[in-house]
Amino acid sequence: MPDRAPDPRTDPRPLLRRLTLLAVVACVGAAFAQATPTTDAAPPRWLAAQIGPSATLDDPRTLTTTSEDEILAFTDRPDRLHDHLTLATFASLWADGFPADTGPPNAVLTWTAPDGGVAEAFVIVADATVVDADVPTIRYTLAEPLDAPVTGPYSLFFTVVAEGCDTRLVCREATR
Amino acid sequence: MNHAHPRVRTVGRSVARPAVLAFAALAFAVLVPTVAHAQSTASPVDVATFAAAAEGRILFVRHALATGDDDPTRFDLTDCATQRNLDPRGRVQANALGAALRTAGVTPDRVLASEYCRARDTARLLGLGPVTTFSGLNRTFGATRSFGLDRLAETIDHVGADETVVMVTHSDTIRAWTGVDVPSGGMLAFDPATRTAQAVLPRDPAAAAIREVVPWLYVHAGGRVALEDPRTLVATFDRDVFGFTEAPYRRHETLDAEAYVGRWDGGPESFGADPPNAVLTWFGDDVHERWVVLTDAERTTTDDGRPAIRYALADPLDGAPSGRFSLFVDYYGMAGAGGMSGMYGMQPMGGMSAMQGTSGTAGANGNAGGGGSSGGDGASGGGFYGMGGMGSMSGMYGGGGMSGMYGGGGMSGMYGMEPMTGMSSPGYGMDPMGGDGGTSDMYDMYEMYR
Repeated sequence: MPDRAPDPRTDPRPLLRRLTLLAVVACVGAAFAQATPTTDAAPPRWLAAQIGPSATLDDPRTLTTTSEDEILAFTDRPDRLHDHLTLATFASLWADGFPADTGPPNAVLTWTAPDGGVAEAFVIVADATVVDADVPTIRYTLAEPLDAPVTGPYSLFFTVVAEGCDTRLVCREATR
Repeated sequence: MNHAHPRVRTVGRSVARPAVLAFAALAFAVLVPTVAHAQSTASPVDVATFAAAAEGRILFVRHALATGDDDPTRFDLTDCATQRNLDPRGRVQANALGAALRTAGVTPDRVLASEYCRARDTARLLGLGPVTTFSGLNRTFGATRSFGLDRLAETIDHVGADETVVMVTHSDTIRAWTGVDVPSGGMLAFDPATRTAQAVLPRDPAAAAIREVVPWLYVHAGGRVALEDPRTLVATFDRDVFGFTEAPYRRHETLDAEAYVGRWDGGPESFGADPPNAVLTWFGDDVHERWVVLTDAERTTTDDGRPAIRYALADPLDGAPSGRFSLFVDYYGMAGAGGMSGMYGMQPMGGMSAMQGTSGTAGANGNAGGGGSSGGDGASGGGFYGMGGMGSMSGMYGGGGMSGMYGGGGMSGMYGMEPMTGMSSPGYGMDPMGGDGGTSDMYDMYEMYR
């Protein structure tokens, strides 16, 4: 009996081939989707320490600091990295905003007290702006009023202000 | 234990065979994630209860809190630097979890951990004994999934009736095996004989730190600092050290010298075991700063009798610090480090303080069990693991509103949801008959964790 061409209306093979191809593609896609992690590693977390010759409270919520031109940023463990940020870059962290689930950073301000000792105060730094002045100056907005005779040389220690490594914060090992 | 996967019989040649195989493979890929070996989920128990009947059981521990959400694209199993690792809270969490287990008398015969660094680190920090890595506990995804589960099945099959095995692994592995979702640092007991999975809660007071895992930073400020030698710094202790938390918490308290120096002692998470980074600033005519690593600290007195702290530095200090100073010290997160009482505790009706959870909606969404109205106002946030509004998320600690293990309003279905179905099952704080009430007893949870 001579071969006869299958009736395309009843032959299941073309449909099965398409379904086979579809299934294989789906399987491969699913396998790759599961096998390929999708997000980057958790980045280093950067703390910051600012020092300078003068910190003053303009009002209970406004802290103006003259500063070194750079601010030291360093990671918490397990990373042991540090880098410096310019004042403008540092202030831009507030302009960029902080994660909604953390909000702005906490900080501790220490300064030389009138009695010759060192005073300290806890603050929440809601905003930061570089003031156009002859000396590098940042004006901070505090989330809560601070009632303290802040004056003179100071250090200002910030909790995490940034995560990750980029052109602002370069992840090079700390020089020890 | 029979680790049954769907299998495809091949019978002769057929035009339909490729399609059958392909569809079978597709079905396998889709359906395998629902395969679970736990036939039932019992009500949670505390660690002491588990310890009393631990023989013949496996304690699955999900690795503690880790950074990010997933491993990076450049992930390499042999290189921790490329992986998602424990974050500061996770390290403290694992340490506290181990303390709870040890206090309860859990003495496992074996501690196995996946090859991932976060699992190995968690297992090490538990302090329950030597840790053996076991690839069968690795994450279960992709082409190796079946292989990994087969290896795990083989190991579980050989757990002796008088043996207790701790397995530190990943959420997807626990879920694949038991059908239960477990949060970071969560524990699940599995009985191979009865195929019963049961949440284990760190009720022991030693575990209080588990919910108090936010890092605290310290500022030691004083009137005089000097180097004894390039690696030894002596700083006067004129008043207590100032401790403060990371955001979003806004807490600060002081710590006396003994407690502060004690941070360098005792335990794998102490400053001694993992020296903190710090920045020293000192005030003279100008202000100076140096980045240092503090490997040790001890109480001492200066030549003129002033109380002081002598710090050992990891490396010689470049500079000559003198005069007034402040020393900003990296985190420390153990409970009591700065008076953290109540900070992360459950509020009887309102949920806990938000740490990662989104605020507000968790409580309102606590109806995964079938329409309940539990949860109070949820105004305090979604809780430590919280993800308010994730009603579709299921699992042991989840439930509608996904307020999470420790907190949040809307705790309906906290331990009850069956994965993939969205149906509540009996569980802690749930109506034991139907799981339909959304009647989570927040106060009971509060009691559990107090």
